[in-house]
Amino acid sequence: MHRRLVLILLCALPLVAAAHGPSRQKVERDIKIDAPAAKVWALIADFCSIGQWHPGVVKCEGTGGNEVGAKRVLFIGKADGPKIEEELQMYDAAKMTYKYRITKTDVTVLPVTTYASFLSVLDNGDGTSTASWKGGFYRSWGKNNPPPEQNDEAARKAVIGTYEAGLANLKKLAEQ
Amino acid sequence: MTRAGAARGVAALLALLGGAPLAAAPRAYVTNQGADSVTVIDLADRRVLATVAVGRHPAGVAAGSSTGDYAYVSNPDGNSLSVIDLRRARAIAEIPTGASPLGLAADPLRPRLYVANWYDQRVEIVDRDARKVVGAFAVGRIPAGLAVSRDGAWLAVANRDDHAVQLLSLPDGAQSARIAVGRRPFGVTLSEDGRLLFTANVKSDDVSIVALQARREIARVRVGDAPYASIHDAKRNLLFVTNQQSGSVSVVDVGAARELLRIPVGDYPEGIDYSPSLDRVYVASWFDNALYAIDPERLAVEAQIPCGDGSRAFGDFIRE
Repeated sequence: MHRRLVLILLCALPLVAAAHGPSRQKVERDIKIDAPAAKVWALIADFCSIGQWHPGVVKCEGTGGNEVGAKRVLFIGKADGPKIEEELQMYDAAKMTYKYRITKTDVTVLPVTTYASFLSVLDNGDGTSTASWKGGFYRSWGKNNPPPEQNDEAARKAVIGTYEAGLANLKKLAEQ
Repeated sequence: MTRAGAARGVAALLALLGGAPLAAAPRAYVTNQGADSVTVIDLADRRVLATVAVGRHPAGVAAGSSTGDYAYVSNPDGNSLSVIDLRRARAIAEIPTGASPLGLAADPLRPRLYVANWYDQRVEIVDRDARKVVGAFAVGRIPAGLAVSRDGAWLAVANRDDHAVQLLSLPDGAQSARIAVGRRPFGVTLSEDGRLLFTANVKSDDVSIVALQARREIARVRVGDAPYASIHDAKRNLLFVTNQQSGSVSVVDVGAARELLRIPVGDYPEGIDYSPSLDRVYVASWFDNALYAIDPERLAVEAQIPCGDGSRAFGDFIRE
């Protein structure tokens, strides 16, 4: 009986890993920065510079520069901390924007799947700028009835925290 | 006020008083997943007529001519369908369903809806008159998009995690056939003549063209990143495909089985439909909360109409 149950569970695993809930989540955050757009863009333009401007990312290891398909690995919280792997999908220096996706996450820090986001700088035309971060993703839990640490709310909370902390620090660095 | 303006004012007043114009222009019913609502759009005027409150996180929609005086939307997080009275532009009932209803299709012959239960390997049968689930078909893993043939002879189910389309004979599903397609098929649509079936394959970044008579895939056409759904323009034999991750619509020459170009639209384009009377393709952009109108002759975006948060419109969302 027990063996049978284990077998059923094992069979169910690949399905769980492949699926996600049907409701994609959206998070968008903007911050007005009292610094020229070019200065803000210079801080984030390098795909792997996130290790310098995001307070939650202690280290970034990247390959491929700023070419589409470039990869980076983020170490969260500490040098041997949880890792998040990401890939550059679109890069437009003239428009000061890029898009990337998460290829592998650690659900303990970011319980999401099929995540992609845009990071952009907008010139307000008066010497100030607006930095914007917007992402679309699903919760990491692929079945019905997710545990609280992997439900839609937990996924949103983790992404909102990431964006707000990152943008606040970017503003601080740019206005120095 | 100009004469045209005055006429519009009178029309709006009549609409407010509950008298919908008899010769109604085509309308779009766009599900707004983040706003728990449906935006009703007059497509000729490109004007929002109403915002209808529905169930939780609406995604799928069946508003084509076979649903009569009503349109239906699926609420995956509410485990229900909302019934919208088209004349009153109001949700008048909610039908409980199984877990996570997403894909939705209406039967052109019978007063039925088919509802894909994302988690349960099931497609439920809803009686539109009784407004309740009356049965279910067992299907493959993660059923996503649904389509019913024009003659009502069979139902196509995109079983996303089986990488296949399942054909079920109607009314009872007595016969079932499986056709292998690309990786993770999501939206499934038919050509106008009913001879071809198309799936948008999210994982393999392509569309499968399936010959229904032969019941096999005859071509696979590479498109943009993470294709979601498609619509066939019979006049030009073109397939328009939404690419979620590219923010574009691919235009595929069906006869030549190749992609002609990509038209940039808003981010995360999802639901797509065609209005024969206006000869326009309409695309809902989930991230930009808008409906884009594409001219299939010039192959360019012509207008953008604001919708509610997270516009998805997965299914037949246009009523001629």
